[in-house]
Amino acid sequence: MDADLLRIRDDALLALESCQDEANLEAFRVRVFGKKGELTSVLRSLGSLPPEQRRVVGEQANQLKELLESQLTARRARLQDEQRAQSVAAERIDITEPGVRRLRGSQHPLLQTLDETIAIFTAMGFEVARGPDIEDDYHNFAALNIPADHPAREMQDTFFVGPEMVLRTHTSPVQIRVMESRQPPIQIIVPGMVYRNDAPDQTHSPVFCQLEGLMVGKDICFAHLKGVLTAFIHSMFGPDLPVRFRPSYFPFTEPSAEVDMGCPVCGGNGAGCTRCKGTGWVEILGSGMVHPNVFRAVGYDPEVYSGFAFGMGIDRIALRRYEVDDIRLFYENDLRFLRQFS
Amino acid sequence: MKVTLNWLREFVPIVLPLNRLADRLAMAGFEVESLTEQGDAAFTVAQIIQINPHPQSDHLVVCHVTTGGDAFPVVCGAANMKVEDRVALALEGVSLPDGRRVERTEIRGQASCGMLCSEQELGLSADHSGLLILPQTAPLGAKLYDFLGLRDTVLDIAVTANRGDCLSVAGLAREIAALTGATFTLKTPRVRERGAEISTLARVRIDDPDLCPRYAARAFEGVRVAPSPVWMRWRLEAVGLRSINNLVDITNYVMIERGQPLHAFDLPSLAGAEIIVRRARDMKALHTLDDQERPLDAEDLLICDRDRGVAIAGVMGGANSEVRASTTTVLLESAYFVPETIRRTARRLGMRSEASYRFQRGVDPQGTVQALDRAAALIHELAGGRVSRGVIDVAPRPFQPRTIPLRAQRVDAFLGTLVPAEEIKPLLRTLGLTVTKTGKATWQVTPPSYRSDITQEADVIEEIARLRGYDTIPTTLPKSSVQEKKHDEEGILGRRLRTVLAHQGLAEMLNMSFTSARLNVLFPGIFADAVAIALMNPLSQEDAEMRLSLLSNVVRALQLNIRQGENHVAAFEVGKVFSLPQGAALDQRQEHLCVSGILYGSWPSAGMGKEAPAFTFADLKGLIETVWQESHPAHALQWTRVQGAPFLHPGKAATLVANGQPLGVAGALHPTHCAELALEDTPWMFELDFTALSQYAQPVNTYRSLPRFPAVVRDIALIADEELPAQAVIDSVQTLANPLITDLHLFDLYRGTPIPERKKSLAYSIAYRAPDRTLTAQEVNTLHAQVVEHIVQTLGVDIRG
Repeated sequence: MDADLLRIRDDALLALESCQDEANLEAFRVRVFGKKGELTSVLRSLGSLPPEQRRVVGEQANQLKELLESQLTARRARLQDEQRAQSVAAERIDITEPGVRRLRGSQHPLLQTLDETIAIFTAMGFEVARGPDIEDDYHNFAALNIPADHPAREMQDTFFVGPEMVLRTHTSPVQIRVMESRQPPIQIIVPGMVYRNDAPDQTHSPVFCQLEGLMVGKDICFAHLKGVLTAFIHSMFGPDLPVRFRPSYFPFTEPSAEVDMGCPVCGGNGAGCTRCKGTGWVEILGSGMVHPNVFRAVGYDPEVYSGFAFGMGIDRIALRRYEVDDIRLFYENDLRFLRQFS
Repeated sequence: MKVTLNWLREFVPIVLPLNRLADRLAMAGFEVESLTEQGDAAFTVAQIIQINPHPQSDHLVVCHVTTGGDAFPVVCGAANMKVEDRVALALEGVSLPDGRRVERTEIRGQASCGMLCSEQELGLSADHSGLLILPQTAPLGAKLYDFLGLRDTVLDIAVTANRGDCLSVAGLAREIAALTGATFTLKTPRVRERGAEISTLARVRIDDPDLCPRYAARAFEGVRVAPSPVWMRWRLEAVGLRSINNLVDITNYVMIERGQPLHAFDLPSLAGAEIIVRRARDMKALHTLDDQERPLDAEDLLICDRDRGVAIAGVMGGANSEVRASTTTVLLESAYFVPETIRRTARRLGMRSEASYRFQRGVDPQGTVQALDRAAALIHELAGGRVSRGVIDVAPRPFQPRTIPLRAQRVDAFLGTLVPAEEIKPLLRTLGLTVTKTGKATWQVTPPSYRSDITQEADVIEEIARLRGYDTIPTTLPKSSVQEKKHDEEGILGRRLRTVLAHQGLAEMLNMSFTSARLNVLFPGIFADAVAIALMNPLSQEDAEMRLSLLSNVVRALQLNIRQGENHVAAFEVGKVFSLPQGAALDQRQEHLCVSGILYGSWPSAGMGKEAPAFTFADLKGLIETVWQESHPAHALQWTRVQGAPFLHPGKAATLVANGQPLGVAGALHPTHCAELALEDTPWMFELDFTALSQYAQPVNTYRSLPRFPAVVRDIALIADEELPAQAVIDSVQTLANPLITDLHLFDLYRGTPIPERKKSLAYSIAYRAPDRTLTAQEVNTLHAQVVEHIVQTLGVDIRG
C-alpha cells in the first residue's frame, strides 16, 4: 500500500479508537473525510499521478475510504450502545409510587347475578316474560289457587295499594298473564322485583328480586322438573354439586319441591359449617308441578297439559355468591359497596 | 311446631337415631329446624349432712352437703330444709335456666361450693318459697332431671300450611309412623262419668252451621283450679307455652297433643246455661279475656249464651265467662269451625293464637269428641272434676268423606316414573287413606277426615311421590323441541345501556320502589299528570308511596353516601316508576321503565395531585351522548330548553328529543331543591324514558365506507352575542346541505378580553371532503368563503380577524 495511505489508515484507526462521543466522531469525520480531510486530499491529488500509479493508488484509497466509513459507523454504534447502557443503569423510578387509576363503573351485584341466571335459562330455550309490579288480587293470588282467606296468604305478607290491588308478592302472576294470552307449549322465565311486607333485617328485605320459570306442554313431568333444575344448578354453581328435591308446599304447585344443593363451602360435609348450619345442604329454590286448579283458572285442560314451575330468590343466590352477610346492603346503595363489583 | 321426643313416643315407637329421623322427616316435607336438649343442666341430687348458722348473717345458713363423697359447704338462704333432706345442688359451672352461672364463691366470709335450688331456680315452677325437697329415694349424685324423668329432646318441625293435621304431637307421630313403618297408636281415653246428666247442666244450639258444622261440649263439677304438676308444666314450656293453671294447661296440653283447640267456660257465668253459635250480626263488640274491647264484624262467628257474646269463636274467650281461681263448674268446648271464618276474624283483629292458628289450618272435624274425652280424663285426674254424664255433640253438617279417582297411568305420566300398581294401595293405606280398586289400574281413594288437604288426584299423586321419596323419580331433560322464541328486547337494551353507563365510570344502583311522599313531591318524574300511588300498609312514612321518579331514591342514596364522607358520586339506575293519571282508578296504573343517573362532586382523583375538576353540564351531556351513540347512532339527539321538569334549574337543563319525541330531561338540580335536601354541591342528573329510548335503539351499527380522499380542514372564529347557542352555527351550516362538508364542530370557546362584554368567541373547525377526488385549494377556498358568508348573514355574527 501507498505509504501515505498506510499512515492515514494507522492514524485514523488509532484516532477512532480514542473517540468518546458524537463530537469526537464528527471531528474525526472532518479530519478524514472533510473537504480538506486527509483522505479527501489523497483522492483529490490522484489526478496528478501517472496513470499506472493512479489506478493502483485510487483503488487503495477507495478501499481505505470504505474501511474507515464502516469503522466510523461501528464506532458510533458502539458508543451509542454504551451511552444507553449507562443511562439505563442510572435511571430508577420508584415503583412503589401509586398508579394512576381511572374509576371503573360497576353493575349492581344482584343484577349481575340475575343476568347470569337469565343467560343460563335462555341457553336452555327459555324465553323472558315480564309483567307489572302492581298486580290485582286475581293474578297474584286467586288464579294461583290462593283464594281469599287461604292460609297461604299468611305466608306472604302483602303490601296493598288498593282493596284488590297489591304489590306482587312473587313473579308468579306473570305465569298467569302469559298462559292467559297464549296456548302451550310454554317455556318462560320471569325476572322481576317482588314485595313482602317484612321489616328489613339482615336476611329480609321488603323488596327483593325473583326469577320465576314455567314450562308447560303435553308430556312435561316431575322428572323433567328435576332435570331442568339440576342442569341449572350445575351450570350456575358447579357441575359436580349434589342436588336434592324435598317435598314442600306451595298452593300453585302439586307436588311441590324445595330444591337444595350441596353446600359449596363445606362440600356437603356439614360438620361445623356455618353456611349450611351443619346440614351439608343449602336451599336454593322452590318448585313443583303446576296445580290443576291453576290450569283451570287460565282455561287449560289439566288432563291434556302438564307443566312445572319454579322460583328463586336472586338475592339469596347473590348473598352466597359474593359472601355478603346482610341483604340490606343490596338496597342501600353505599358506593363503597357497589364499587366492589366493578 | 315444637314437640318433644318422649311425647311423640307415647304414640309411636321411635328407634331411628335423631339425625336420621330428622333427615327422613325433611325428605318427606317436614324440615326439622332445630333439636334442643331439654333438662340437660347438670343439677345433682345431694344430701344435707349438717346445717350450721352463718356467723355473719341471721338469714343465711351454711349447709354441709354430700353427693356421695366428701362433704362440702354451701351457703343457703332457705329455711324449709332439715338434716338428711335430699335436695337439688347446682355445682360450680352449672348454668341456671334463667341464665345465671353458679360460681365457687365466698358469701360474707364463708366458702360456698355451689347452690341449693328452689323449684323456680330449677325451672320447674314459680315457687321460690324454699328448696325443692326430693324424696329419700333420689340416688345421691344422680342427675336431677334424669331422676325426675324430665330429660327430653325438643324438635322444632316446620309444618307446611297445607298440613294442619300435623300441628299436633299425635299428628306428627302418625306421619312418623307412616314414614318409618312403625305402628301409630292413639289410645281412646277412658272417661269416668260420675257427674250429673249433661242435659241438665247445659245446652248448645248452632244457628249458623255453615260456619260451625260441629260443636261438642262436656261439663265438669267440683273442679279445683290449682297449679299443674311438674311434668305438664315442663312439657308445655318445652313446646313454648306458659303454664297458667291446671285447667288452662289441660286445654293447651290437649291442643298440642291432639291438635284440637279447646275452650273452658265458667259454666255458672253462662246465662241460661246455654251456648248459641251464630254470626255476631248486631253485636258490636266483645270484651275479651285479655281485657281488650274487641270490635266485631256482623260476619264474625260468635259464641253466645242466652243474652250476650261469651267468646269470639276460635279466636279468644270473653272476660265475662272466663275460668277464674274460684271456678268449680266448667263447660269445655271442642268445636270444628270453618277455617276461612276464623282466619278472617283473627286477621281483622290482628289476634293470632295457637288456637286460631290451628282452626285456620283446619282441625279434624271428626276429632272433637276424642279431644274432649282426653281433656275430661285429665281434668278428672289433675283437677278433681266430676265429669258429667254424656257429651253434647251438635253436628248439623256432619263430615262427608271425599272420594277421589286415581289412575296409575296419571301417576306415571305426572311423575315421569313407573310406580308399580301393586305398591299404590299399601302406600296410601299407611297414610290412613282408604283405597278401593275400581279397575286394572284405577282406584277410588278416600282421605281420612284429618287430611282436608287431599282433594284431587294431584294431591294423591303427591302423597305417593312424597312417601316413596322424590329421589326415586329420575332426573331427565325434556325432549328438546326447537321453537321460535321472542327476543327479550327490554333485557337486551337494558343490559346494553347498563354496560355503557358502567363503562363510563358510573356505579349501578338498585333502589327500593317506594319512597316518601315528600320525595315524590320533589321529584314528580317526567310523565305529565302523574299522581303517586300510596301504599295502604307501608312499613314507614319514608316508604309510603310508589316512586314517581327514580331520582327520588337516587338522591336518598346520594345523601347516604355524602354522610359516609363520599364526595364523588357518579351513579345510575334502570328501574320502574309508578303513577296514576290524575283522577283515574288503580286499574289505569302506569308502570314506566326509566334510566336515570346522577353526577355529584367530581370524579375521584386519578392519581397524585390530579384532582379532577367539578362535574359540569358538559360531563352530563357527554355521558348521555355516549350512551346515545352506543345504542342509537342513526338518530340525532336534540337538546332543547327544558320543559316540564320543575325539579331542574330552568336555565341549566334540557329536554332531550329524538324525531320530535321527548325522551327525558337532563340538567342541574334546582337550587331550591338543593337547599331543601341540604346538598352543598349541585347534582347533575338525568331521567330518560326507557320505552321511548328503545324505539330508536339500533341492535346493530351499520358500516360507513372509509374515506378514500383526504379532507381539508379550515377553522372559523367568530364573535357572537352571549345568547347565541353554539348549536345555532352548526344548524345554520346544515341548512346549506352541502355534501362536501363532512364535519363541523366547536373546538374553542372564549369569554373575556379582548372580547367585549356579553359577547363570546366561538371557534369551529370545518372539514371539507369529496368522496371521489381530492379537493383543490381553490375549491375549498370558494366553499369556505360561502360558508363564512352564510353564517355571518344568517346569524349576524362578526368574524374574528
